[in-house]
Amino acid sequence: MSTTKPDTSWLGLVLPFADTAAPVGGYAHSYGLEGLVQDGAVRTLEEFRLFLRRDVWASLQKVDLPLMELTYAAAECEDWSEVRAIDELAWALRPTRQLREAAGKVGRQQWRLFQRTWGKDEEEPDCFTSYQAPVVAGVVFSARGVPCEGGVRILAYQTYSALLQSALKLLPVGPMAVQELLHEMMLLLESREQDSRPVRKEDLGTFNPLWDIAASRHERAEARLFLS
Amino acid sequence: MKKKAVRVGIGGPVGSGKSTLCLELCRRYGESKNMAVITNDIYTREDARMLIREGALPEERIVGVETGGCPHTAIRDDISMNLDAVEELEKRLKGLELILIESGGDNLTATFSPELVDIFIYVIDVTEGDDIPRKGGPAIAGSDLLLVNKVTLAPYVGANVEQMKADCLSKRGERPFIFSDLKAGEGKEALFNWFDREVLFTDVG
Ligand SMILES: Nc1nc2c(ncn2[C@@H]2O[C@H](COP(=O)(O)OP(=O)(O)OP(=O)(O)O)[C@@H](O)[C@H]2O)c(=O)[nH]1
Ligand SMILES: [Mg+2]
Repeated sequence: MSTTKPDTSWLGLVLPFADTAAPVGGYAHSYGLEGLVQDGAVRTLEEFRLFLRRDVWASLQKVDLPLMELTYAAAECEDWSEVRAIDELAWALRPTRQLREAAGKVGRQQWRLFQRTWGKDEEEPDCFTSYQAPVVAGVVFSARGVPCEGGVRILAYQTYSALLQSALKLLPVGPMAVQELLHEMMLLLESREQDSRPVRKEDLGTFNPLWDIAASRHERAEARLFLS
Repeated sequence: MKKKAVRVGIGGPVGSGKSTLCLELCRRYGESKNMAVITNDIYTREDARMLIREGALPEERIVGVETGGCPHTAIRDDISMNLDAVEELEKRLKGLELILIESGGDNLTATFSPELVDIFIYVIDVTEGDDIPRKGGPAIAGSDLLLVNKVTLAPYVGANVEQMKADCLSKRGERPFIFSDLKAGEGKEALFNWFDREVLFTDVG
């Protein structure tokens, strides 16, 4: 039996990073959910659950998680021009201005927060153009020795918990149901297929016109609670 | 070092007169100061729109920010959206001297973060219950200026203004408070005097 204790010091960084109380503006975004609710596309707990399982899951699997993983791998080799290219790609992959800005604003604040805390002694690599959140996460996790697999869970948790928090305000959904959904989504994450071949940039992207149109209509909505 | 604009927070419950105060301050200082307003609207851009409609300032000097239904979070716990708006205004308007930040109408516990504003005005009005000053709390007691607005309406709702004054004094001690009616013009001179002295430091040249 091995007697070496696993190194869990990275948890100290990760907990505040994933905390919904982190002052990065997350609570002001619904990432298109408010648009979907206003359009009548998501009205009930069941419909919301389907949205999380199908649409959000697809976007995590096909966009956000691989973006973070690719960034992580590039940051491990200090290939900053590659990280830069991924940040540009991440920006381009968001189908609407509103979603691009949402991911960029939150990511930029996360980076600022990192620089004020765990990244204080770190020199800023010249690798961001729009500070897309999954790219910032990849750089931060790699810098502080967070295992990539742990990073995947954190990013998924952040994505789901942000949507669930906004659902509390937008839908007839209660706090306990929200926790149950979060649990369900984190279990779903465990089922994620670990492909043996590495993720390729050209495989990234989703096609979800309903969500995209709702998000862009929301941009011009007469009344709204959320920035996105 | 680049000189930063002075940031004044304006908070208080729904409908107490925060936007009206912004409008009055814009009318008074809009010509002499390079200024801008950020409104934190709850659901619509009503407040920003009202200021534009009333010609408080040119449109590019008024920014509305959505706050995810959490007005107090946006001015205290997570001020990043408001800081974004400040940054955007400072970039857009060279030499900006003064920014008013109006909070969304909220409950009595909402205060501004010292990382967001330099000075904080709290606005209540006599029609919301004359026991509000007595209830105290961080905003009633600790704001840099407490404005008790709509005094001319006191007789219609049976509010005891003298008692409210006594309560303000006991909760606030040395801190200033002004009983005003911004619609009727009451208390405006006292307000502007305070603003000149405490915000703009005009008395020290
Ligand atoms: N009689 C009277 N009415 C006032 C006074 N100040 C404001 N009002 C009116 O009260 C209403 C609300 O004023 P606002 O300035 O919009 O209040 P607010 O605090 O900005 O409101 P929210 O932003 O919605 O929380 C408007 O109809 C104003 O015209 C006042 O001193 N006297
Ligand atoms: Mg207002």
